[in-house]
Amino acid sequence: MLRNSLDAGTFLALAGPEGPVIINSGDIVHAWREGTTAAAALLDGSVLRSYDSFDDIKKTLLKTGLFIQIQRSAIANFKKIKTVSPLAKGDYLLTFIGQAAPVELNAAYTAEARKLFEVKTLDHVEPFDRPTYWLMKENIKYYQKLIYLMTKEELLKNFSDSAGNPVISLLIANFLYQFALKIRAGEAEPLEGGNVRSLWYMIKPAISKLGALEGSDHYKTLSEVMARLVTHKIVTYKEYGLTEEENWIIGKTNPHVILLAEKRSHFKFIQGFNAQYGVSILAAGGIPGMITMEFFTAALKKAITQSHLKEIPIITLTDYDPAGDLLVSTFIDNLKTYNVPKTKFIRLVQPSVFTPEELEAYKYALVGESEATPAMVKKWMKKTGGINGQAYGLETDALMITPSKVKALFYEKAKPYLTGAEPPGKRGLKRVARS
Amino acid sequence: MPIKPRPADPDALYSAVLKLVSPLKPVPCQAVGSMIFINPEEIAFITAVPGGLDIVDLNNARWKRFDTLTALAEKFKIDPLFFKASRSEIINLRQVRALHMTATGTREVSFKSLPADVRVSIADSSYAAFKKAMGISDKADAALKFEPKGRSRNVKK
Repeated sequence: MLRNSLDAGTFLALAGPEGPVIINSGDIVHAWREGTTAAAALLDGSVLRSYDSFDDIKKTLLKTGLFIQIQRSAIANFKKIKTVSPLAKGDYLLTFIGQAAPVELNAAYTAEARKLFEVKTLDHVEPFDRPTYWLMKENIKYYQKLIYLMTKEELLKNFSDSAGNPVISLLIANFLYQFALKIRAGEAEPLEGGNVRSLWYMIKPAISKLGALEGSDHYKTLSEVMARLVTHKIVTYKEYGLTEEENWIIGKTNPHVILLAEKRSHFKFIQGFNAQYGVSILAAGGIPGMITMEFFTAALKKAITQSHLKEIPIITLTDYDPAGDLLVSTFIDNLKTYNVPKTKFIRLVQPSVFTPEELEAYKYALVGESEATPAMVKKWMKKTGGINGQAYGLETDALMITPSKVKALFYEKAKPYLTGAEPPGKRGLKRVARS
Repeated sequence: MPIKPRPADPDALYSAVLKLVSPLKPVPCQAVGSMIFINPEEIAFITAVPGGLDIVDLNNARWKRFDTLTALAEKFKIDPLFFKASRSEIINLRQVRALHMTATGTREVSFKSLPADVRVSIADSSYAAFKKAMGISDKADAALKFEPKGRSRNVKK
């Protein structure tokens, strides 16, 4: 209240329900153009009309130094702003102290708000700690008692919604975080050589206490929550002592060149490229899991130099279809998560490497494909043009029919990025074929 | 003859106003999906927690910032009523209700409008400055250490 009085700059005559009233400008939260006059929202939530025009009211209130323009025909008392939430297209939603309704801050008027609040951005506080923010967003807290030892009542008290129903994803997220903290503090031991299923067996009895094992696949929930926490850099797979099936090798001479194969069955074949050109290889077997990405990027970053980070070519031996592109884009996004941001997507399987006869023989219709939704196909068609403008795709195996062609194509695409590599001559081909 | 009003001492006037209103701007804190601005007068204390700071307001609500306590103390320097009580806490002297001495000899403060058990310790190294800032006399300070023997005369039988 005292601050309110001190924040007052002037007095305005407004039309009250019983006639004119004089209002302290400190009590006005925001004002906007309404016909030929203005409307002003007060701290108590009431809205009064002015006698003067909006332009006159605006001029008077801006002079106090407490008001800022928030839209073309609206101003707000910045001292009364309680919260600022980002909306789409650079706009923000402002809420206020008291009862006044929220209003939007237009993107064009954010500079003045930033200046008055002395902040660089209205999106989040500075400095900003993303993992801690995600802890807040995931509603993860610190619990003294081990979560897997809690009674049913304690579990329900801590991990249920407003209706009292258990929220298993919340329970799992808190368990994973608590266990990681215990390992970091040396109060628990990592699961040496374990996998994600080992974590599941730890928390399964607690989920059973809540009677929530039936109906839903909560092992899947755990895998998803775990991947989310890893993406937000709250925990790592490594700190739990988890291991993964290594379907990748980091190259020795050209580690920055990555050959990504869609099918795990191609791992043996692509090992030849690792042996001959010293490139890094990964046989994903579908979209690579976060655990693979964590271990792969950790090893990759140890092998590459700062200059390599300027551009990492990702040469892909993936299907020419929406699912193949989804795999590559997810892989690239996950590299970004692990601070490998500048990548270049180079496709090996594409219509231009086939003859018209081959295309006719190998193409397959994307319509009705279970792996791609119509929206995915439409988006992919817009990006690639399909095959001669038609919704057709090509399997990786269409190219793999001729391994020498794959080798020649790879060399052609990778050459600008390779150091100390020779073209795949007869010796080279034999060596690759043998491996 | 009318009494001529004496001009006020500007320094005294400033410190009187300062006790009521902070010269700091509202402090941006992070909430889920939005930034929330807390008026500095409404802050009871600020405490270091893993990953940043919790700003505790007069409603005992906690708001998150990600600075270090030292960095925030530097930002709050223009308001002398924000007092660094220890390495992990800054208190708002405007909101201090009482100073207590615990059985183990630790000095703690409680806050207006916060539950009595919400207390912040004053480090021994900060106590001299705290005493000065709060205007605690040596006599009052000595009384804090005094342990009464037997029944007080003020206590009714």
